[in-house]
Amino acid sequence: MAETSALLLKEIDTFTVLYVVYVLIAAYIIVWIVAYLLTHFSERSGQYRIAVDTLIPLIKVVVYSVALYLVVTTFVEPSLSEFVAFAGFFGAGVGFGLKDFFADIMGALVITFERPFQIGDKIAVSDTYGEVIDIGIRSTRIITPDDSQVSIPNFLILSSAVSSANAGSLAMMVVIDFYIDTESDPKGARAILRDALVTSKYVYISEECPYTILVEDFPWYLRVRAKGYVTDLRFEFEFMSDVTGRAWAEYARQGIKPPRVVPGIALS
Amino acid sequence: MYYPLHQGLSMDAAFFPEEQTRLEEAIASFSPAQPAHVAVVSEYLAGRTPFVQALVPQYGDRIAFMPLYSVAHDTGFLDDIHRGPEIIVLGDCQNLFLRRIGGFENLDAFLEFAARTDRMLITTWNIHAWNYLVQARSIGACFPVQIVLPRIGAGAIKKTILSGYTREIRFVEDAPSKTPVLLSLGEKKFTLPFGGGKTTVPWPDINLAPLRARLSSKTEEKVAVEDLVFERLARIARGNIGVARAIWERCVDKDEVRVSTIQETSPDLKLTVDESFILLIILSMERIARSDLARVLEPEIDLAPSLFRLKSLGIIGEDRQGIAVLPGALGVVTDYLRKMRMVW
Repeated sequence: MAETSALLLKEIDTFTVLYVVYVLIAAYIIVWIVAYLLTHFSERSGQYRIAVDTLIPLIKVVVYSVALYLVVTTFVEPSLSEFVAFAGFFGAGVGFGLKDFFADIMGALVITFERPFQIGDKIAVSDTYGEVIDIGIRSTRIITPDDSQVSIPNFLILSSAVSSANAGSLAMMVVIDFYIDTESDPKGARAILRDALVTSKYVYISEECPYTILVEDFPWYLRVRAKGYVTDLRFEFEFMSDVTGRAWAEYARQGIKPPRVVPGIALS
Repeated sequence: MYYPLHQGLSMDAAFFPEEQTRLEEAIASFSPAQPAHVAVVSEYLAGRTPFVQALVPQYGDRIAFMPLYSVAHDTGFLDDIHRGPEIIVLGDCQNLFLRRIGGFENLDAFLEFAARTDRMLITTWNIHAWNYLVQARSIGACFPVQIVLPRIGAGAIKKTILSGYTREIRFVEDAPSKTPVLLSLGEKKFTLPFGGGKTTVPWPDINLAPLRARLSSKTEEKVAVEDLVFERLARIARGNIGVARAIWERCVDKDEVRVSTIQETSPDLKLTVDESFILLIILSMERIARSDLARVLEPEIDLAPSLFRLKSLGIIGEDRQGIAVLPGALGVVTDYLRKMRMVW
């Protein structure tokens, strides 16, 4: 048995251990510095913010892959038989105790290359919604609208339905609903909401990002819905607040009233 | 009331021969049954007013120039148009609207008039206001002929500016230059294959004069410095003749221009959303009265502190006519607002 081990593994001494420690520390520091610099740069890049952020998980995967390769070749001779034996140990380890851990790593690889979302996107996973701030080797971290940081294991993300509100773009569609009394003037309400939307300091309008104003009749109220894109997804709620506040102020001036029955109660 | 066009063809109009031809063709094909209205679009100070004013000597009584000097608060301007001749040049149409709820009424009235009138309307717009209104209010459909004035190169800027001097200007190279003298960036118009549409692309304006001067003997120093000055001027002004002229006037001192004085105003802008929005309104309207700006912003944004900050950054100025972006800061401001995705 001892003979087999000697064939598989290189001699392990203090220098080998130190070398491995140095490699891991160096990989961590490189990733940290690159991520810090890219994040700093992306914040100053305006409309290219998300494109720059996309590089971060890619660089992490590359750096950690190189580090892993260096660590493995420190212990194992690169011959076929030893590689197969190492793979066997590795597989057994994964199968027994580290299944979830490696599932998370595989998840990180899939997220990095398939890109169902990117750093900077606003995503919803299960009941959690927020901006992706990091795609790590084990988990993806998002910041919720109330500033809580949530770490979601990558494996869980892969096995769940994930919706990305902006899909890599800085602009994001925001839907703003208004409920008004059925006796109010829908044409006037629509015109006011259109003005409130297109004059907002947060609005972004282009041929690819048009706006829409819709009126829908319900039994107890009219719903006036605005769909428009915000300049930067970070201003999602400010955009909603800006349009809502100014539109209601104008509605009040024009005699357009909210419904006499609260929509949720009316429907129930 | 309408205003007769200025007599005397400004030299600025000669910068845009292709655009001038398109405008003349549009006028030539005008018939009251099918008036094809024209929109002439450019940046602030980029020469669209002299461009349309140059039509006067050609068309005389058939045409009237009616610039909107400030924001229109009612539709009285339509009465003036009704009393005008068959071709109306309505200048600075960004003054037809304010970016606020209910701020498009005059614009809507004008567009409705444009759709029914048998007169030809030649309108001029700030490019940022135009781009915004095209997306927000679909105004492009009302103006079948759209002429965007391109940027101009260093050679044209030099010719225009120096034409205003009868005496010699001395150019002093008092700072080492890293600027390539041979190349500046202008724009060129291309016809697209198949569709036949036209598009404008950035195009290098190659200036061989400095090279020739360097190869020759005596005038080498003088010509090289002169071209260096105008190349730098064109680059900072981004091909905008008005901005170039403003920078030039700031730099020329007793018939002498030092290379070191031609510097770009480049504060490292980091503004709040409110400040950026105020800057956007000023940039789009080109010159706006404080009271009109307050109407756009009320009641959410307090104007005074933001204006103070923008002034202290040296990017806007205020006089009796209103508030405007300072010419030297136009490029920086536009770049910043584009980065913030506020101009499109």
